Amino acid sequence: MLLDPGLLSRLIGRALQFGGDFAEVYVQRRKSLGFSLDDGIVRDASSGRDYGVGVRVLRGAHMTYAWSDDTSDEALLACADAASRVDGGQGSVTVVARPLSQRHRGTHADPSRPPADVPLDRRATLVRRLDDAARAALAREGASAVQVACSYADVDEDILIANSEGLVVTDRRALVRVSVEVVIDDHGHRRSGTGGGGSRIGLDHFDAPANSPEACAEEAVRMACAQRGARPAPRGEGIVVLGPSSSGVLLHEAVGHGLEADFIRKKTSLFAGRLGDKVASELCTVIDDGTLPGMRGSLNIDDEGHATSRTVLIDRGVLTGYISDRLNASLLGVERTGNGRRQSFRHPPLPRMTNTFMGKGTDDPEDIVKSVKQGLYCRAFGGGQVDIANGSFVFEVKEGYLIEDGKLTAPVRGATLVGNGPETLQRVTRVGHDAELDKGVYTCGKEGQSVPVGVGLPTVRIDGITIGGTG
Amino acid sequence: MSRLPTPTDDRLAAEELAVALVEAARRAGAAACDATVGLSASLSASARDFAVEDITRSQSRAAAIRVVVDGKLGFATSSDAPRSADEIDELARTAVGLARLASESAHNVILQGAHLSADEARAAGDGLQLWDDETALLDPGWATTQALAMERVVRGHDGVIGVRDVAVGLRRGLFALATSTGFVGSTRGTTASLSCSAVVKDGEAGKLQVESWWAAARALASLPDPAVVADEAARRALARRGARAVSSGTMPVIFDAAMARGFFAGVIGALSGSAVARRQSWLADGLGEVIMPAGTVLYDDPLLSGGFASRVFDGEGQASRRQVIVDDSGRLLTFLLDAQSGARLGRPSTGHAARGATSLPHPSSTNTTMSGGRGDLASIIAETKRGLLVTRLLGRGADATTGDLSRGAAGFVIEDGEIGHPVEGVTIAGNARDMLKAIDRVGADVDERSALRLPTIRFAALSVGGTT
Repeated sequence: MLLDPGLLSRLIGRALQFGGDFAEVYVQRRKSLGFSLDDGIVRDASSGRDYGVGVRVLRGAHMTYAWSDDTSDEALLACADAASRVDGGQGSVTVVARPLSQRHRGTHADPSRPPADVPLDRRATLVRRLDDAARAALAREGASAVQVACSYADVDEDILIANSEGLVVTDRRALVRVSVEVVIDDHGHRRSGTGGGGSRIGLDHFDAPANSPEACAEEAVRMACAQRGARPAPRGEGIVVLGPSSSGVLLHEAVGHGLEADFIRKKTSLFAGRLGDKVASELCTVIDDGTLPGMRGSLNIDDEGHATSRTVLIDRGVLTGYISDRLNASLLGVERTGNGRRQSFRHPPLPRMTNTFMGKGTDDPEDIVKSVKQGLYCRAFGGGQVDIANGSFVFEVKEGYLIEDGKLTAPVRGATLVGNGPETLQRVTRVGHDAELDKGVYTCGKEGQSVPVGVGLPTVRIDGITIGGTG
Repeated sequence: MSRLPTPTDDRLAAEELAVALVEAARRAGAAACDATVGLSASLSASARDFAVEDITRSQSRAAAIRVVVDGKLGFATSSDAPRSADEIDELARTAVGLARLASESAHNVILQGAHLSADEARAAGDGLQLWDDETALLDPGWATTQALAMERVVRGHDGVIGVRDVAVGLRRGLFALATSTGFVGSTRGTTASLSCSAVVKDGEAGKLQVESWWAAARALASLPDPAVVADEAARRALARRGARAVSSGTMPVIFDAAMARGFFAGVIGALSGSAVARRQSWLADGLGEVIMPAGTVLYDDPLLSGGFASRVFDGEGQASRRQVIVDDSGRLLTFLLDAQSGARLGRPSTGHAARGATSLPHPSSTNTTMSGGRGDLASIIAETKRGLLVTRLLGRGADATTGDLSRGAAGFVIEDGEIGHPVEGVTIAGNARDMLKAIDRVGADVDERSALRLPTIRFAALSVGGTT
């Protein structure tokens, strides 16, 4: 156990000394390791240890949160005292903490070979393999490399969650990831490509040929080389085909965030109060699933100790569910979905996505492209941003091609997609049968907290979206 | 209110721990090394529905060791800073063990630090007015009163139906650095901030508009009244009702001071020595070149009194000094370099190593100001016949390597020198290098709420994508 059970009970008791509905102690011990390599040199090898405790007290809609990375008994008791001073909240009942009892949990996100069990030099090898493979692929393509930057990062952590309802649960979580970026010179223009991937299963992840550092490096080089001769993107409203997998970031940003229960409760999402309404084309089914085995966004339990689940958010165009945590589920009177997540013990949990994707359709992906006379095909996206209140979003197209007479032709650069999440979902006219999750590289940010997520999409045709280009 | 531990003692203790970490790393085999220790505490409070929504408190004590062994760099951090000699030795051994897995590079260097004793560094830091005893108390009573006042005021405006975030933040922190070359120093500071949002209904279809405003200062006494922040949030949200796109075209575009800061954050990123050394900078070949129109100066001043990034020494112990980045002829005079990026470019550090208690140094600006402009947002609008005023940008900044930029934008049309209807759903596009040169008007209304201090700027012509 990360913390003595006697001390846990004392902390919960102290946290409730001035009243409250609920108290929780979150303990986290994390080891992290990273190697970064550019220009063939391992620039640095870093390791971090993070150990701390967060104490949360709820009273109605009010919360106090206190954390400490000083883990002496005195500091932790002071932390519980700080959290105990809940302001306001009239007429609330003070609960009596129940005796703690250990809970069981799922195992779908368990690591098969956790990073901490693998020697350092074995892990360092991965970043060198990325570099070797990228340079070999660049040479084969005859590309002149301006930059090859590679990194490896892992996290291996133990979590303990205990609360005043008597719950005690522990979890071991691993996360590994490699990434590579290549920049090539194309007659004075720079073209860049990225590749990478990871999961929660640990070092075994890289054994599958499709997940190997070599495969990631090939993808980065392919992306950079495919953009040689890219021309400025056209601008104006048009037809867009989103490629499978990583285009899911669009769905995550433009729709997923608006379905998070805190924005719903605070009525700052345009999906608030619209359960049962048709909010998308009937071709669209959107799911959040934290139980997919080993995926980057998967968890055995959320950061409140609740089992993760598969939640259908939009079923054939109809809004059917929200992404919720304890506080917002209870205030909204909806089911808890096991999406209370936090970046670390330094942060209170928020409703967050896990793996969010659109279910597959029936169209052949090639037919979808063939169906477009003139349009834009987007295969990879850079950054994006969304305004949840009115659903408007902006995305940078990292890899895009013109579609002319049903065929992919010239690569384009500098394109952005500008639109409105729900309006865009209404304009989905074809959905491919090639749905898959991304390779495991995305990190989602919200209110200053970053958590790993998975995104996914089948090939999708959208009739009418604004393309911001320079051409 | 609880009594604070005497801050000077904290600083001495942090300095001592940093020195002990350096000594341990030397014993473990690292002839060249440095160590950092950070102590911080913060409090934030937010309000909703006329009650305190949440209060978060934190207390942190973290440390890190950076070692260079045979030209190889190793780095180890701990958020629970070592307390015993054994824990100190373990962190040092971890860093040295990792270094053996890295590659040898002549660019890994631990510099000779500034000629400044620890006592002198503390005294000089105190002279910069970075610490406020009132802020350092992290008083939850003060924070909640301010948050509740902001919400009361913002919701008192006709048309405001709610808030997204109304928050008050207080923080105190101290940072100590020791190097194997003999430098020991510590610095401390406080910050306080107010932020308020307003949610406004826009039409009957359930569409909302949300805008926010904020203020920040080193000292509580320097913050504006919470009502000022709340009124501005409400004003901005209400002004957005009825926003729509404009037709595509090329036109003069004004960035208000906050948007100008965002654009120049990209410029600062492109001037970072690590980006330049990796050739991932659209300004990599810009040194000595004219990159901006003449008439204004962009300078960096780490010794600015009360500045949000003020410091007496940088993250590698280099002395701080004021430096002009772009002179009044528009010429780029310097990149921002730390020891490693400087070595890669064959230049000395410019003293721009930014560093947290558990991060490796990286080159960045301190307090950077654009001076020499005239007038303000209102006068620049009045001088603009037809164009777009941008008050919000969506999406990422310019591509680091190419400078290509395409972002979603919202703001207002300008017609005959006056603000017209609110605008949303448009994009602006261009190349950052061309955009810098296209700046044809700079105000004197510098926004001093953060370390990057920009006034209103106008681009003579930018591509705006809207309805066809």
